[in-house]
Amino acid sequence: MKTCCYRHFIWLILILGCTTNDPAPENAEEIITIVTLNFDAPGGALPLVFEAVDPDGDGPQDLVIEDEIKLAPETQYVLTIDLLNSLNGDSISEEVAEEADEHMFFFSWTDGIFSSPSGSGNVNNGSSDVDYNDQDVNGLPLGLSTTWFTTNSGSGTFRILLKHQPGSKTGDSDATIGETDLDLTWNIAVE
Amino acid sequence: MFLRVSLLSLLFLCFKTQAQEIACKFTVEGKVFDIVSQEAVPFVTVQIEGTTKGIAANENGEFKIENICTDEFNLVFTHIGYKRAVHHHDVYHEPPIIYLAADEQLLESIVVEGKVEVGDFQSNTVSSISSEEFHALESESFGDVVGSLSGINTLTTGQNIVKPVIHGVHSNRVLIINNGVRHEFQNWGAEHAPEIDPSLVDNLEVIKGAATVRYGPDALGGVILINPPPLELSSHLHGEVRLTGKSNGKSGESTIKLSKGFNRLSLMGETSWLRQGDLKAPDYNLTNTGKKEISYAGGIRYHLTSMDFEAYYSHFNQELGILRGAVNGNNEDVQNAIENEPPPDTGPFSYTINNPRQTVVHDLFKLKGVWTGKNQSASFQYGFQNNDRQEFDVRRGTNNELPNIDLKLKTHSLDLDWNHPTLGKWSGVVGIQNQFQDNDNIPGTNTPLFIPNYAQYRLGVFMIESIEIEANTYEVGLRYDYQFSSISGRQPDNTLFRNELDFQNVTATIGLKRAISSSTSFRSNLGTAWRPPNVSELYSFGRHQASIEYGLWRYQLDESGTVTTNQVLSELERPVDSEAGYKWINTLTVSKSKTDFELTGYINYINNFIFTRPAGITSTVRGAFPFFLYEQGNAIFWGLDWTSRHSINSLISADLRASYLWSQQTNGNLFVGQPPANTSLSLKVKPNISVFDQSEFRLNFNYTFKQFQAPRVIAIADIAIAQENGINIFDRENSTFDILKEPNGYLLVDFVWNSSIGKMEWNVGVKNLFNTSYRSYTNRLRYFADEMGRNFSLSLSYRL
Repeated sequence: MKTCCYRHFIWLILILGCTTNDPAPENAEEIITIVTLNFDAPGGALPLVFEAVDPDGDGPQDLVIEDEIKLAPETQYVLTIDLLNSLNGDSISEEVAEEADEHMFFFSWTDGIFSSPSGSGNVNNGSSDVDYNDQDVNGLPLGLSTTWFTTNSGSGTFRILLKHQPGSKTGDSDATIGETDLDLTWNIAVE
Repeated sequence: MFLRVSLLSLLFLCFKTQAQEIACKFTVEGKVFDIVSQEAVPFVTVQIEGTTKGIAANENGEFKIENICTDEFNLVFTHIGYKRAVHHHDVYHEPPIIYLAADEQLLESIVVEGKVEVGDFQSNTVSSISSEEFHALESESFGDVVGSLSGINTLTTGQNIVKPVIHGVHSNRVLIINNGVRHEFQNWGAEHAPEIDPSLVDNLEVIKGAATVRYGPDALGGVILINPPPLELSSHLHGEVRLTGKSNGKSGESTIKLSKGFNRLSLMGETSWLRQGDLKAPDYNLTNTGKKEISYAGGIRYHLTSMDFEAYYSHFNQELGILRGAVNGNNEDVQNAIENEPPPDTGPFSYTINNPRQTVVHDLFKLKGVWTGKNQSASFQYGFQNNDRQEFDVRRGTNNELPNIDLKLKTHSLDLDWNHPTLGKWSGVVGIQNQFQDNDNIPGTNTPLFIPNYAQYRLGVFMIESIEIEANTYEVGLRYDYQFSSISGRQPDNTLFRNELDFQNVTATIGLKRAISSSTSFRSNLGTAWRPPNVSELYSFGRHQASIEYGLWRYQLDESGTVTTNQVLSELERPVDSEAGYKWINTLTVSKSKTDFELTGYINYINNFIFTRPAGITSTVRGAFPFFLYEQGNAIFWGLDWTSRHSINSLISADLRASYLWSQQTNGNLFVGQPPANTSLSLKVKPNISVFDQSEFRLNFNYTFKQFQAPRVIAIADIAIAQENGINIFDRENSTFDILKEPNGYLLVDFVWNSSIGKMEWNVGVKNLFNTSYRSYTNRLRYFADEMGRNFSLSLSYRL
């Protein structure tokens, strides 16, 4: 900090009264800095965890997707998604669960990686061919938890899109509706 | 209107009060005009109230009464066919100019004395809105009213947020003087409109030249002067009740104005209320574009011989919605919103205002004293302003109830002016202006601070002098400004940063006004102007909808061009100079009996111009965003404005207006959203229909051209592809870009019928008569939705 006033004695008194209050700290509650994908295998295969990290939120530092998703062949997985704001330790996925009727996850993937659901996902077409394990109060899917069967081999990409659709989430609302809270694309391989 | 200003200036040169201190040796002289035609009214009877002393004006409307025994008296003006006017005069004031209104007109007769504010700048180009035109515009937003003048445009965010643009510059480069006080608000934001209700305004003038010398920093583009109704003495209780309804938005507005003048005391009070629902484009609703507004104002004046005291208070409260379909979380959302028509989340009509929305409050309190002595006057003025601004975005959970911007700005000002007695042939004004400002973020937004807290002190000392030599009036002005600010903010991780800054500057102006003939005059003014960088340009940080910006002191660039933002800089690491503008403006005015015209040409060069440029793409969990860095460069603006009025016969007249602007940075960069060329033709017919006291039909054709100076287009899809392939598309070419091509030109047709019987007046109008679908290049939401469609309006007023 530099002192400015030595040249301006006349205004010294006025300037002494001219200091501002420090603003109160604010918790940036809506930023997601760590996205964790937990692939648990009910059949007993090894559970797998993959992370994407963006330590500065809206800063210019790029998001880093730590590693490629590698899944075992012909295995059933339950995917649960954890969203964390590491700047203040808040769980964003809890907030999303509380507002399930305003949120929905959409998924898309390279055809041939999963035997079920089949196809390439519901980002580009509205028909729900994802196996959602959770629902909102209106019986519409949410997607914090989903079920997947891998094929015997394949590779490509896996995209997760979280939409905030306050007042506009219906049985017909697709991935073009609402504001994007999350949009991540992982490389994926089944081997 | 131009005519009136120039006539006034001329008159001040012609008449001087002969005040003598010997009993019964006082004299008054003046001149009488018709308020509408602005022509002299001959043979008006002028009488001193309560005496038999009086005289008839000569054939040129001039009068002079000598041997008056008191230094204060009421002058009564009467003439067949005109409304009576009473004017309280003391001999220390300037000679009165009387504007009589004809019996059948709704206008009141008015008397003007003393130099009007713009008199300080005889060489500058001033445009004003006539009281007739103003009446028809009162229910528009403040920005739209100002934007009706040639050379003035609007920068809008949807239909509810309208900012005036003077010759291509706006926000912190345009100064608003509201009732003699610098209107202080969060002017740095393009989506922050001035908190002024035009229905409470009585007159509006725009100085199109750089008028920093008189009004202080920020006036690089020009100055907008607005005033409430004057506080007149010895006037009967008069006022107006007005109701307006509009079909588009199903809006209702009511305004009440009252004033009364006694011998020494004058009072004024006014209030206005407005409610508007969702507006409608020709093909769909513009969901969440409602508006609520309440404003009121009151004034009191006490008059003593050679002294006048005035107190004034005004309050403005507004809540407005922003188009729901313009909300977006990332670039792909923007792309979806652009491609979808109707825009996303379009619903049925409603008066409900949801997020995104803004609530703003502005209070002004003013105390003024004027002393008038022999050939001189002095005034002091204290002003206090409070401005609260809350902005709400669509957010998750309980945060949706919280504003993401919540600012309180308090401003105190103290101004002292002295119009000194003429020194030889020189006359002029000197003054001191002080301002103290305090800006606080109100805690509880749960979002990183967009701008820091600051306290700021400003001092300005100025002098403007003029000299008349034959037909020429020369003007010179000089000013010194000093600004100190103390700043305190927080980084996103809540680390505190503080700074103290001082700026100082000298500005100057020179000008010439030349009466070429009785009908032709020429004005030329060269003025410098400056403004220190504002806090948002220095410190803004973060994302607002789908764009991310970093202020001048919030980023570092290393040699390889990599941007980091973990450190807050100061003037030591990156010196930031004040913006300095040089504006030269020339106007030729010709006023003949059938034709008036005015041609203005200007060039404005701004040094250290602060702007944003795209610098890269950052990926976040929401997806990829382009980010913008604040930088400084130089910019040039030049253009032409044309206004003319032609009377075809006693029934029909035509007004023509046109304006053209060319603007560019000196490095070749073009600006996004600059006003395109524009021309309008207004045909007026005033038939004599016996049922009505007066009647006027007006048909307006307004054509806005396509902006041919638009920057390059980079589609959002191209940004996404570049990011996927790891290419920085702004590496080689970092000039400004737009994400969509500029819209085509469009023609709009409006119709208004204005008429009256007795004290009732009505306006029946339709805007966008043909329900044309169009998009305005200067609307920041042009990517998402069309402008408003056809709008019928009905306005009824009753004058007391």
